[in-house]
Amino acid sequence: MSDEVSGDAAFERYVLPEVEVMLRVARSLTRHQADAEDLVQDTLIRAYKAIDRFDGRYPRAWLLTILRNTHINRNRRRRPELLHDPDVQLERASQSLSEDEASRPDRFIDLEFDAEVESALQSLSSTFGEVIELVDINGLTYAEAAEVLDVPVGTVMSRLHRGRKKIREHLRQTGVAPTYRDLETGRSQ
Amino acid sequence: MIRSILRRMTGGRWPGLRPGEQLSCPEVGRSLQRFLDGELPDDVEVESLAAHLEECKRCGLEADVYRRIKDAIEHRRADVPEESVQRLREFGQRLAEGA
Ligand SMILES: [Zn+2]
Repeated sequence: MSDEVSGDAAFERYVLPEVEVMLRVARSLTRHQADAEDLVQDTLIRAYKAIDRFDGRYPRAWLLTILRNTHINRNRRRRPELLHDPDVQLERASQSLSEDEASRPDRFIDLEFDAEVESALQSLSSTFGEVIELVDINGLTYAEAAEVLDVPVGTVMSRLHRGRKKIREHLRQTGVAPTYRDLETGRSQ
Repeated sequence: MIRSILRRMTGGRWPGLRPGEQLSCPEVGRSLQRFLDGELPDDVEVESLAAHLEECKRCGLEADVYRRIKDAIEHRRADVPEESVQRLREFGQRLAEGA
């Protein structure tokens, strides 16, 4: 950290504006609101202790790295199988759907399309699901998602793109979104 | 044609697109996801891709489906409780003030 900015001032300037993003990402990682808040709180403490070593560049990426490491350390102390419990994920997904519908009454909802996207998402393995969640729900860039997952950017891209292709294929098979070729052959028959 | 083959061999890195140069459908397919995510670094490619999607029905339809998928997923996003964000900011503030 440069001399003219104190650690405390740097913490306020770089860290506090990122609290909301940290909380969203924490919720994707922990799957529970209370755990997510605990995780962010621990991350803030670690970030505070490390702020003097932070060079002021890419604060979000720096914080997401701390968040990820904090998350990994916390999980070493718990039962790992709870992490990807499908029932928990399902419950969570249906919760966020209904909360969302309540908070956005103005949105035009194509129920059938959305329902098929939802069911395709549920059947994706967590490898694909978590990348899609980080990028499409939490709005992270590829580089930021790579930081959280501790994988190369190319891996983020290939997981994301393969996951979306699976969803797209599901939509084709269920007839919700045919391809141009399907439409053409359908017409000529 | 040669340029598009070379680009495919180099994973899209070389030669760069000239302004107005047409992308092929497979090239569009390879860049579409990054285009939709705003992750294509090359402005010329962004423009050519957008122009291709306007003109080519097949790629245009695919882009549309992927946009709707992204949109459907994005709207699953539950709002984070404002009081949680507030509480954590205050927690951080107290850390910074040495309380
Ligand atoms: Zn095309």
